[in-house]
Amino acid sequence: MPSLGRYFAHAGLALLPAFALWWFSLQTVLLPSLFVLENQFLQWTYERAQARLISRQNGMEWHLDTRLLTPEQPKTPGRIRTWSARVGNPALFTLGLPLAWMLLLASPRRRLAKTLLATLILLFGIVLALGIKVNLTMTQLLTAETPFKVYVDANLQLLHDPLPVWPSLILGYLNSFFVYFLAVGLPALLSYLFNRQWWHELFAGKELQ
Amino acid sequence: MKLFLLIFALLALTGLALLKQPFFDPAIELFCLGLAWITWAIVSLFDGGITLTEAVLRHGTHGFALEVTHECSGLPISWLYLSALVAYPLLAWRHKLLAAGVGILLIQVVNVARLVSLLYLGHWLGGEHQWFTLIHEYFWPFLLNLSALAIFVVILFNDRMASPKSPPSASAG
Repeated sequence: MPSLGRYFAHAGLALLPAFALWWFSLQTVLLPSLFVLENQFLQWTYERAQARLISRQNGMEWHLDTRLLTPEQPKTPGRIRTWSARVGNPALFTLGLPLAWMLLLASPRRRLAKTLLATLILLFGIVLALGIKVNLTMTQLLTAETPFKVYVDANLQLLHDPLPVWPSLILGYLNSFFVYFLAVGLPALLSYLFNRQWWHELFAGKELQ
Repeated sequence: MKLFLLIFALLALTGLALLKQPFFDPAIELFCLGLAWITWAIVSLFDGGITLTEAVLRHGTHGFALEVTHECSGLPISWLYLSALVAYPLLAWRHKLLAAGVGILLIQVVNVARLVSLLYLGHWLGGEHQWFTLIHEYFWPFLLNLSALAIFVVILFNDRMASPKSPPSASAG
């Protein structure tokens, strides 16, 4: 069997175990850790808006809650209506992990080390990309037409005028790219970079041990 | 390598941004209609109980229904495959054209297999079942990504074997 076929066979053997491991770790470790990190970044970045993330459906749905007041307020005293938005499904950003595990575990040498290193790199990318997604949601919210007011220490304050549309447009395009790059581009790139010599020799038609 | 990544990133960003523009919605909807029709035509060969109304495939008149929407088109991953092909420097342009056609066709074959499997899984398990959600939202996108990557590697490998050139330097940028 040619080396490429052998490589695909090895990777194929890891397909279901990698996916199962990813699914199991998603709700137990990955999403809760990512939620804590991203929530902290959000609170630091949008402190005056008192923004925070809310997790629903076992962490598979993130929503963004703020203390920014909507233009229309309830007539009932003591009640306020604030802006909130749906961030989306964070699990989609982690779909590159099982692919990376498959590809790196089929490496000709030092499989475990390469897999662990690729996992760390991917996790770093996932944190950045999710940060973009959360910020995208916040900027989309802040492009609403009226100036924003917020209660800070029981005082009503004017936060700032609405943001222009272009930051959320650019973040939206970057977000689309990163979802797919993390899902397939980065795992493929890491598989190539970590086994560069092997891939070059394979494409040159030489069999390697 | 750096040039490949730069061209790939620019093409991918541009294409994915364009696919979100309302201008292309009618074309994408037409593509989804075509995809739904092809899926129905294949399924009809062995199951006469599937009906097709616009882009909605349904079991009987009140059974589980699957609508082929923009998210089911496979166009984003097809565009990424095309971007990688265009950015790859060691392939002649006429080979790239052939590889683009063959590769996108194969990706859509996998996509149609996905639609057929989801049509029956949804019918047997129900659309709200956790296994259906797992397979629909996570496993099949994972398989589609993997398929596109495998098709890209195999096409490059076959082209290399068919017309061997001197091996690229391992430190090529």
